[in-house]
Amino acid sequence: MSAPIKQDTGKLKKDTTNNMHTRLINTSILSLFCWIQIVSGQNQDQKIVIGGTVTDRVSGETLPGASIYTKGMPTGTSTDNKGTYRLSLQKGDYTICCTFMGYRTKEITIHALSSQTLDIQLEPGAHELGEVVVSSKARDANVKSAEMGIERMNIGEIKRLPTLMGEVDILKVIQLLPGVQATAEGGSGFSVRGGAPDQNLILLDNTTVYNASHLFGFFSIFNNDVVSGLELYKGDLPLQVGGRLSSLLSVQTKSDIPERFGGSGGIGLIASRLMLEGVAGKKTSWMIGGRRSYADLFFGLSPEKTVKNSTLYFYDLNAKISHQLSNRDKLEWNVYHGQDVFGAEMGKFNYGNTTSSLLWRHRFSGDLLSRFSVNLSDYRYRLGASLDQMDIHWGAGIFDVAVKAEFNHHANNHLNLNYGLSSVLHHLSPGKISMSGYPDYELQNHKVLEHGIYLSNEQKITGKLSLRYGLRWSIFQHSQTYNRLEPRISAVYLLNEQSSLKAHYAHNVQFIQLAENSASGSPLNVWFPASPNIKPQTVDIVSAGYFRNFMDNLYETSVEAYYKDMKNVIDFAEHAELLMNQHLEEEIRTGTGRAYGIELSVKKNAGKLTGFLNYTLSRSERTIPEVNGGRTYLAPYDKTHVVNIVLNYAFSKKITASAAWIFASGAPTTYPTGRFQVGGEYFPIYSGRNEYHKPAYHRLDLSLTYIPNPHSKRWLKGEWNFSVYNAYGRKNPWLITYSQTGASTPTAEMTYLFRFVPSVTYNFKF
Amino acid sequence: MLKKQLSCILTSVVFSLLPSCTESFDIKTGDSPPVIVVYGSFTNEAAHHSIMISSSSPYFDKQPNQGIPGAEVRIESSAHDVFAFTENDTVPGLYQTIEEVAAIPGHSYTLTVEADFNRDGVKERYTATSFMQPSLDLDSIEIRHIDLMGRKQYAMYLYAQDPPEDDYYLATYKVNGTAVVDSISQLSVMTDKTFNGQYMNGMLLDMFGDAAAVDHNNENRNRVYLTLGDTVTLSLGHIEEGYYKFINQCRDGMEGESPFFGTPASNITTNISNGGVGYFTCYPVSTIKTVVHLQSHFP
Repeated sequence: MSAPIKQDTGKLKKDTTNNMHTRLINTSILSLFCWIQIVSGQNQDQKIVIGGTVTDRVSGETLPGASIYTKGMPTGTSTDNKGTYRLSLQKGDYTICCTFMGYRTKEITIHALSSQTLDIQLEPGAHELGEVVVSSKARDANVKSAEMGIERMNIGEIKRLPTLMGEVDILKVIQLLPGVQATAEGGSGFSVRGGAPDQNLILLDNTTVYNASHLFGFFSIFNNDVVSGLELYKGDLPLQVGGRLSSLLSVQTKSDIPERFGGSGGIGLIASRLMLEGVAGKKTSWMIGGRRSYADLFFGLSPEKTVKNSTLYFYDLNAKISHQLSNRDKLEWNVYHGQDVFGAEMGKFNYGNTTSSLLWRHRFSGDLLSRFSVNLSDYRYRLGASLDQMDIHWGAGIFDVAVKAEFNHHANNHLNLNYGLSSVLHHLSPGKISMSGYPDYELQNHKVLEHGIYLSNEQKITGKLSLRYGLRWSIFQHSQTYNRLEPRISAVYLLNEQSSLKAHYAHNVQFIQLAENSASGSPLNVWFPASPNIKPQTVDIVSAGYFRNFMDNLYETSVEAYYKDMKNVIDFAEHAELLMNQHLEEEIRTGTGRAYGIELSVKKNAGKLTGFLNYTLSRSERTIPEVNGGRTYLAPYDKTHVVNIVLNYAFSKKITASAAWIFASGAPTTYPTGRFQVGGEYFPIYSGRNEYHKPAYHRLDLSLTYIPNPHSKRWLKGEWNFSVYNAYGRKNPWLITYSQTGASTPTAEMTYLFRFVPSVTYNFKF
Repeated sequence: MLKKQLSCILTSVVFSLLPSCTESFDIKTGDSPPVIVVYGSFTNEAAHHSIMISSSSPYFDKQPNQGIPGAEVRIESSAHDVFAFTENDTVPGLYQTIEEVAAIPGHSYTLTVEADFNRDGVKERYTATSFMQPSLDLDSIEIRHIDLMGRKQYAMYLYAQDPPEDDYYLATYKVNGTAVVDSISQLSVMTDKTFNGQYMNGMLLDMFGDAAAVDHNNENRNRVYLTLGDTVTLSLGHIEEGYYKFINQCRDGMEGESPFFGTPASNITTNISNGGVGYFTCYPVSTIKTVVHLQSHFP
């Protein structure tokens, strides 16, 4: 992969500084590997490693967060976001126990004389509905893990929650988590702990997704039939990722090997979907899934020619092929392609993502696992219009090529190393307009390189104190090279088996950002890089929390406090022109920001009644010279109080009901305090940015899942989901506008969406 | 222009696809202290040019803004020509040149307003300066009858050479000698960003409704309609970037929040000094006429 990178950075290579950095990187990587091998060689003779994947035996979904432990011994671990685990043991005979909420515990006796793979399939248990837990961590992982601010959910939990228009949307589900807020009514955009939406890194199978929404942000690109689970890191980002300040949302598609050909799907009000999976031989499995909306199919019924000739739809295609090369090697190829298409007689507008990744997992030894991947990500939009004799085309996008090498070396309780490196070529195309009869107008493209090298260790200091610490070295090469070190450390101190104290510090850096002023999720994304004039954004995050479980981990509670200090944070000049602007940097304003808050969480994980209550008290501010006269103002994502309550109740195996109540303080806004008149029209005068608040936001969503025959032996199993979004019809403002009719003075109006929106979806699997 | 059209299309799509409603909304805000508002233009057309001086008011005040009488108003050119203004007898706050005068391209003009706006017995001075751009030679205009998405419309095309500099244009119209554009929201402005220095060989300038096919449910209230045989006069102003931005900001800001492409609410940029708002601009106007005839490109 080095060849294309060298070619693309030909100009940069002329810079001797960059050559020096390249040598430094190479030297560091070699040193890192040597050191790792020296350190790791010490224990290989005594230890063996048992590892594998835990999956749902029926659906084949991987199960992140399942507990794996040796019976009668204190040794244990939990599965990661891919559902995989590694257990380091002395040679001997063991009974391996695997437990996961909502599944029957499985015990496997092994004679372990050497490292080996042990894949485990769990049977949904008698209390299957117990899978509707809020967080699918291992039973006590929330207390004992050094991780903080991390939320994991599997698709089983997500599917039970109420939906908007019948579309299960994981981006809306994460908005129910503490510290996460929607940026617009009904939208998929989200803010994490006061950060901007472009400060969230969204990965689909470890590949960046630049715009994760359809239909202007009202739906996400993730088809729930192909998704197995998600992880959200609210600041304590794993060191293998960088480049974003606020969060990492990692979405995984199904990666397990099905026992036979099967599939699942659903028919909803606005879209339908289908996923098929199977095996080809003993070593190869495949999965393909698709979804398409079909509101425009009804356009043909319209008597109006304009409507009849219009198109409006979105679709997603996912595919995956896995091949087990040997018991040490596995190849995996993922691809995603999705588009939104809007067409009318005079023109067409479409936008979407294409991502693909090729992953090679290799086990060097029982202790040393590796992942090598090539990841491609492309997002672009195109607008074409024909009017009389004039054709006009407008397009822009971003294209990434990334190579990654990641290693996990588990030597002992003091040395559980993760290390690796990555290199990304970002090709930013901010815009090009072609008009018939005129030369093309194209903004300057940017090719920039972003490298990262990292090393982290998870160490058990004492029986009660564990640390996770590491360092990431990020290098960004554009017209200027930036080197940044990103230290991250977290600690957990066990007070007892049920409670712990945790603390965390991280320094994160962001080199590319989105030029967008709208919170509603415009698809016209323009990403721009750090430069000599635009310094990389940075954040220092400190958080601490108390975690306490009750009644044998049936109830999980926590309180976390955080403080974020942001530097070089981005905002834009007043009336900034962000699209097709050759001088975009002149519209950028940078300054400082801070965000702080407290998050309280109570969860009930099992039983007929499950659910959670999350409360967040927070504040997010920006201070940027040249914006708001240099006075500190509230970030658009500042919402003082946020309460999310989700309850699920299993009436029987046939019927499960869910309710979600969401409350958020009104978002900051700017209302006009004065006006001037020109001719018969009035224009606003403002006294300050975001000094007022919109009315508080709240709504109640309800859903009911009905499984006609839960014990059916037929090949096709179906269930009905009935949902009502905003059940009590709260009028939550989406837009506040001003109307001037005739000679009258202006009056205010609000536009609201989604008041009492019922939906029904039929889901099936076979 | 493209962004605005796209915003309109996308907003329409969202409203048509998603269940939405609009209703009146009560906003309680503090009131900004009143400031002086100065707005006017000076062109190369010999006329009694006017400047309007008024006071700002609370946004939701039910009364129209009040004109400011008793001000002294004059314009001085970079060639030291002074143009005096006198107060209109019937419209408070309206000041007009005493004689029919015209500005000359290539000169700067400074507007000076002296008024006791804060009523402390002493007049404050407010000034604004604008540079008169060179005149633009228009070769011709053409109006074609087209069918756009099922609606019959008239499209106006311009033929002229665009100068090599960054240029900004303001189009106003007369139909059969009567001005049909009288408010900022109706003004049509254009930048040459995407065709700088090129010959505008049928550049789409504006769209008009067909008076014979008015769709009362879907038409904009400010729409201008044409009929076969109408004589349309285009007045194309060669304006400064500042005035181009002022018009765009006024149009963007007057309706409040905009989905998808909205920018945070911000005060409209002014060139009036001393805390005033509004705008004073100078620009040359080039005029050209044509007669509407039926020529459909989408039979």
